[in-house]
Amino acid sequence: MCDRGNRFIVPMAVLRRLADDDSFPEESREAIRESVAVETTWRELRNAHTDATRASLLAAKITGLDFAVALTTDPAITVYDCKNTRSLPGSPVSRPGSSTDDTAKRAFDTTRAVVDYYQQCFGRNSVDDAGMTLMSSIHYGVRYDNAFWNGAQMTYGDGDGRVFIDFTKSDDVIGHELTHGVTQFTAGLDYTDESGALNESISDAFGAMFHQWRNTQAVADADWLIGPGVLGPAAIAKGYNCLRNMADPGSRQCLSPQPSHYSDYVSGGDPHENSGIPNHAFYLSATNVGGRSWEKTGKVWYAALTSPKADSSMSFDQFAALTRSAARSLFPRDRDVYRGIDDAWTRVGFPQPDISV
Amino acid sequence: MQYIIERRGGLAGLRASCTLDGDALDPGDRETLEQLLDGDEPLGTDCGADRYTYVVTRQSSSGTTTREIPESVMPSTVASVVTADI
Repeated sequence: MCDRGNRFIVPMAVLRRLADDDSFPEESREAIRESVAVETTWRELRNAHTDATRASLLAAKITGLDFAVALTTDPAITVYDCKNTRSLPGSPVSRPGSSTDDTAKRAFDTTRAVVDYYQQCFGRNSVDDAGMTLMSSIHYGVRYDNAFWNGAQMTYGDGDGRVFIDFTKSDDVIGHELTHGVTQFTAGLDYTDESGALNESISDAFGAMFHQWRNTQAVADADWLIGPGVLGPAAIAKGYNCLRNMADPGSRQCLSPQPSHYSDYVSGGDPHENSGIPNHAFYLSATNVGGRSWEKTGKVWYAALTSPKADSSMSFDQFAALTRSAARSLFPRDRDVYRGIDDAWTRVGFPQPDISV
Repeated sequence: MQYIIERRGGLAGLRASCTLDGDALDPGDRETLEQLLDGDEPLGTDCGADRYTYVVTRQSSSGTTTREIPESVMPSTVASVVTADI
């Protein structure tokens, strides 16, 4: 998910050069030197944890459900306050669940709910399936219009108050960011080309499902919107209602309209652009299968993501094949699941190669 | 000298851009940008997902230089000038 040969948030060579540049104030240079020391240690520890966990699960051929049953401890959830700086993780928030800061409380409560969602729906214990502590940093930067997963934790900006507001205000966004962690520890999808778009789509799908699960919504009652709660007054005044719409990826009410069919794939496009294609396949699958998305379609998508056959450079058609296979193996007596998923992929440009199946 | 800065990525995938006059920049920020544009070492990419990437183009009488810069390296005051236009 990043250049592993240059895995630091700030490339070390750049930081060292800046720290040695006597044209900068000594105070700034000292801060940079401290960042080098802290960032190196912290990130190496987290990356080592990622590598070790993935290797051990693979070696033991342990499935998510088995591992979650073996581990009984809930993952710890921590919240840090960046106090409008870009220094991560920031200052720890004590008792975030009862904080008077609504953002801290929301980040804590929603992350807790995401943990419950993954445990109850997919038998997964935290993003690494080994009870990893889930860290969130809030109030990142000044008027920062974004939320991200940095390979080790979630980070949320407050928004500029115009186009975007506080990024913790859409629970599907928090589900989206945590799912990037799940993807990192499972298929480890690269962040370019089709695998990058799949990476983004999986976060949208599991984020949207989390929102539906939390509100006990059937697929027919869901809005399938991504990030409706983070739009600011200027965006709403212009008629926008979401970042993306899985039901109608090209909708003009989306801040970022997307293609919904593979014939419109944008070569070299941003992962958030081409994710519209697998997003729409998930929506069509869920509506074809019916009921609650997490009960059947979600389980099929999760099985594909965690399959030993899933690899970091996976293409759309390879992922489609894994979902078709998972639909047959997970629901052998319910052929409508396979038919619904097969139809969905066909409609976005990936017909089943073997029509005799 | 001008800097054309395009922001890509982020959770929203919303592109944003601006043009900055070199003289309007804080000298320290300008120096950092110059070092990033002229450096030989690869800047790599930020770990994780939904990170911003900046494509910075410097236009001057001596030519044009373009480089992709991860958000973690961009001077925050420069980055904050690039805002989404809807």
